[in-house]
Amino acid sequence: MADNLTLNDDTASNDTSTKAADDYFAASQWSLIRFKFKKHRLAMAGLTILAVLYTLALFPGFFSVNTHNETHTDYILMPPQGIHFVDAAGNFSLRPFVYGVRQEIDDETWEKTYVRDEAVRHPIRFFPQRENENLWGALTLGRHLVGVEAPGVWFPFGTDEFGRCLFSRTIAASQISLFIGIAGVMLSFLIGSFMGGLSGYFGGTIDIAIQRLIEFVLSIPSIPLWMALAAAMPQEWSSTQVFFGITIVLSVVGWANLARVVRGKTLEIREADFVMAARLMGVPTMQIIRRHILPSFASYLIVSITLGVPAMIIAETALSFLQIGIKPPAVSWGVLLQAAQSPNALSQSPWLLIPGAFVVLTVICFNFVGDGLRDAVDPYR
Amino acid sequence: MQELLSIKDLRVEFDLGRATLNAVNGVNLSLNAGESFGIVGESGSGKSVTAQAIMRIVPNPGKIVNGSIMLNAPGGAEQGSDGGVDLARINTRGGLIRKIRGGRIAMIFQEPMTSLSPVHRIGDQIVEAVMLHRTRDKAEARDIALHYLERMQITNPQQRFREYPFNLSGGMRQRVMIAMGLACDPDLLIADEPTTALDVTVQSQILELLEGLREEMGMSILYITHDLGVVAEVTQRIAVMYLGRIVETGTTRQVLKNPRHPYTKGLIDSFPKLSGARQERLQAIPGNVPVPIGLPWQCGFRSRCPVAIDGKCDTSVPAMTPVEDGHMVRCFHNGDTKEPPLPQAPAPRARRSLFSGGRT
Amino acid sequence: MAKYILKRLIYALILLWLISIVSFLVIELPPGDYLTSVVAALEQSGSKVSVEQLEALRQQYGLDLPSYLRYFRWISGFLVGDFGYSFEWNRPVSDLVVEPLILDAFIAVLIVLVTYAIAIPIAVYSATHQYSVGDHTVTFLSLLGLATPSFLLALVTLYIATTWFGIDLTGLNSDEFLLAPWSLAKFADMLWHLPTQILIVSTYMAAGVVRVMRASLLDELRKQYVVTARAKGVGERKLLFKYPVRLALNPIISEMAMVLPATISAATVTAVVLGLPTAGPMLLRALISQDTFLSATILMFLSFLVIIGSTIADLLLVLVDPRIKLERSEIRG
Repeated sequence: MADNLTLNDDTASNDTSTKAADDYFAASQWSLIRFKFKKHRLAMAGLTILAVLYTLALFPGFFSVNTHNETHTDYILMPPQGIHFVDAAGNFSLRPFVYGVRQEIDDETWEKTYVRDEAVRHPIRFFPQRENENLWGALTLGRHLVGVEAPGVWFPFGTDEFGRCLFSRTIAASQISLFIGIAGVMLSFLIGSFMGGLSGYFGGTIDIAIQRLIEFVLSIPSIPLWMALAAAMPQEWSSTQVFFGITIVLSVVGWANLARVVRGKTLEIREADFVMAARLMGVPTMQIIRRHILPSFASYLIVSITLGVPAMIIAETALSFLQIGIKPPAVSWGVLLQAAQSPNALSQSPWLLIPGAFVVLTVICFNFVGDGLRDAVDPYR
Repeated sequence: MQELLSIKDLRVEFDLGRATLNAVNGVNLSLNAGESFGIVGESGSGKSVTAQAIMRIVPNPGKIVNGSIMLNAPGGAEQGSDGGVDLARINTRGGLIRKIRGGRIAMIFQEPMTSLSPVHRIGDQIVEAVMLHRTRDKAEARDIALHYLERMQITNPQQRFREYPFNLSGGMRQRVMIAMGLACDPDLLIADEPTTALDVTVQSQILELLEGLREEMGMSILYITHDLGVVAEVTQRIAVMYLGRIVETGTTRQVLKNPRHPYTKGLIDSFPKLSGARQERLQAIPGNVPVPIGLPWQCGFRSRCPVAIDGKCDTSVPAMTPVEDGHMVRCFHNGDTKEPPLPQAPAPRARRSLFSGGRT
Repeated sequence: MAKYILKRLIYALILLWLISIVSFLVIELPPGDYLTSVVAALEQSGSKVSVEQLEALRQQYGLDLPSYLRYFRWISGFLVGDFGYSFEWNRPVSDLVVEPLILDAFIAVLIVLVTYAIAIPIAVYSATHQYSVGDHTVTFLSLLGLATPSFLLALVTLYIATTWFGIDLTGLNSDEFLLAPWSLAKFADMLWHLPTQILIVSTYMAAGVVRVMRASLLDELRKQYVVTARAKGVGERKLLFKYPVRLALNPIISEMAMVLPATISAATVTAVVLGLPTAGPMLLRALISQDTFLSATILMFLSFLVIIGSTIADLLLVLVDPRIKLERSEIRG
């Protein structure tokens, strides 16, 4: 009823919106989904943030301000440095700058503290003269996008216990953390849609067997199982091998949820009249699955896939945090969070939790996008 | 005859945020004790909202904005007219309305499938109602419940009592619903499309049962239906509703034999008759019921009316005009009386008119 | 009914058996066999291992047998309480795992109870006050909760406790009780430390439960039977709890099969952060040092907990929802 109201409203008001309404009804499935998705503000915001995060992850060398593995022994566990536009004297400068930092040792307690040195100012520039590394996918410029000139330092997120720039490390780590989510879901999706499709399409004994298998996989507590499987990976594996190893480990559990969705939808569509029509025309089974069933619920699969990524990212973070996932020198958000594990380090240097904020942000964005997609693909909303 | 329920100038609005939907637009209705009354109309006519307003169960964001719904004391005039309650002003979360709901006015609904709680036994659901209104004693409540199940001709009531709604057919469930409504011996039973979801054969069984019980128990029944067959079969008086207003009312015979409003005529023509001398083509009323938002101050039926008078029907609303004894109609073809606009109406809140005849 | 319960129990037994196979695979999976680890451990402690010794060990662990026979040996040991030997602790696994696993089971039950105690009132409030400020707050917080890994929530809690309140929440017991034998005082001390983990994991779990419960309650509130009950004259509060809340609980209970594994998972990771002597940290340690019999036993028992729990939940559901009996016996029949 509400929909009718809006449409009536539009048709009554003027001609252009009549045309808009006509377009709405004549639109293809996908442009309709895009139209409805764009109206979902949270989902659009989520998508934008994800686009930014993935862009950063693709070119970590370019977007970071330091080299992520470089140790700065003079700046161990230093808090984040603020950006300033106005200096101590109250002069405004359009170019932002950071103050220099001096280390002071308390005479009595021998505790180290970092003191802002307001005499020294390091202006933040585009493409500063500064050492860079060639991480995979880095723009060949060999420069950072922004930063301070060489002798000065700028640690936007502070440093870790080896004096490494946490900001640059977080950006570098996002590469593994963000892409392992995608890779894990893709592999799960391949297994899941194969199993779920078989189960839903053939029914009978195959269906029962696969359904039991799904229930079984889902009834094992996933973290302990992942831990066991991840720990079984040979120690001498390279970072790349570990990356794919973890992807496989995550998919061992991850496929089951997707298979459930696929099975449910297949059953629904299998009974649909257009499939019966195709079958009566003698279309071969695989072709019915590929040409008729898969396109009709591709949209639902995309939703499930989007909503499946967060679980993968969280799992990788947890495993790496427990030191049985991605291992240093490779970095992921979970690896960075290891530094925050001891309560002592945590209370002294809370900025070590910043990579965790990235995990939360990413997962929230994926959930928003997934929710938006789910509403958009539902033809009755 | 005693008046049991009297509705005056009832207006119910739904505030939809950017527009206000005028679901019931000044309804006057009087219902006598022991009477069988029917409100007939298409979906969107406001008939169900009127019924919900009596029970004060109008769903959010609907609100009664004007009028009164007087429910007179059981004895009527003998106990003095001040024994009545105005349901339109009652506190909907208070104890009084809870006594009235189920106790003095019971209601049964269209969907017997979803109207009963799926996880409670049938017997327990009836007993709950009985214990709220008739007795505190569980054993006695159980006997009463069983009695009414029997009265509704449910076979093997002892066993049905312990079953769950999903064990029963649609017809059986509706009997259970009715038994639940009657078990507290109400003065008025509101039956909102009681037979719409049922098979035709089951329909007439249930209607017969209801009428038998009405006469025996001396209660009134208010039928809310779109089905002229139902009203023709069981009601004594009817009111035809269109777009939140009653357009014609009278005894069932008066209205069906001698319809005066073009809408009533159209409704009767669009209804199939078995006893016609010759087979005629059914006449459908062109168009649809408009959405009652920001309605202009004109006859609601104008956009679909074959005999609308330009300059009259589109600028004023006809008032209810008597045409026979007890037979009233709201149409300029029966006189020139206009309804004075209420101070609040027409609602200026809807900026753009959603009123357009040809909604497809 | 009895037939359904029997069927459900047989099904649970089959699951247990499958889990034993998976756990056995965990023993077999690491490169090299168990003996490699043993020899490495022995050599590290300075003792030389001779060829004869090696052969004797090989015989003892049945490493020369084909794997299905080894599985059979392992599982039949299981039935008599022999879970193998932990070379890292130099003790039989059965001596090690009992205490932490009982603690884990105890904690898991408490977590589930506290989760529902937190989630149900919040969901009821949220659904009955849809689109209010409170409802939006609840929705936001539950989204945040769903996006936060449980260990991160534990870390943040620890940080807040130490810097704002100066309390150290790690460990199961205060330092003075660490080495003391079990006593009433130690138990009381534990009761002070346990709630940290239980509250953290429950809050984390509640985020998901609130979302499911709120959605299903909103669904139920719109149903006709609610109007019927209101029209009977049932009071609003009684009506809410007797009908829609009652029905909205069903998906929650049937989700138990999902909630329990997640609970165990979250408990495992948070226990590592909080340094609790439960099965989680022990599993992690066993996995890292490739103490395979120990890790397989813990994995197996943690899964057992889940299966026993979801079997109970399933049977509970039959009591709560009469419709299930019919559907399930059709599906599983």
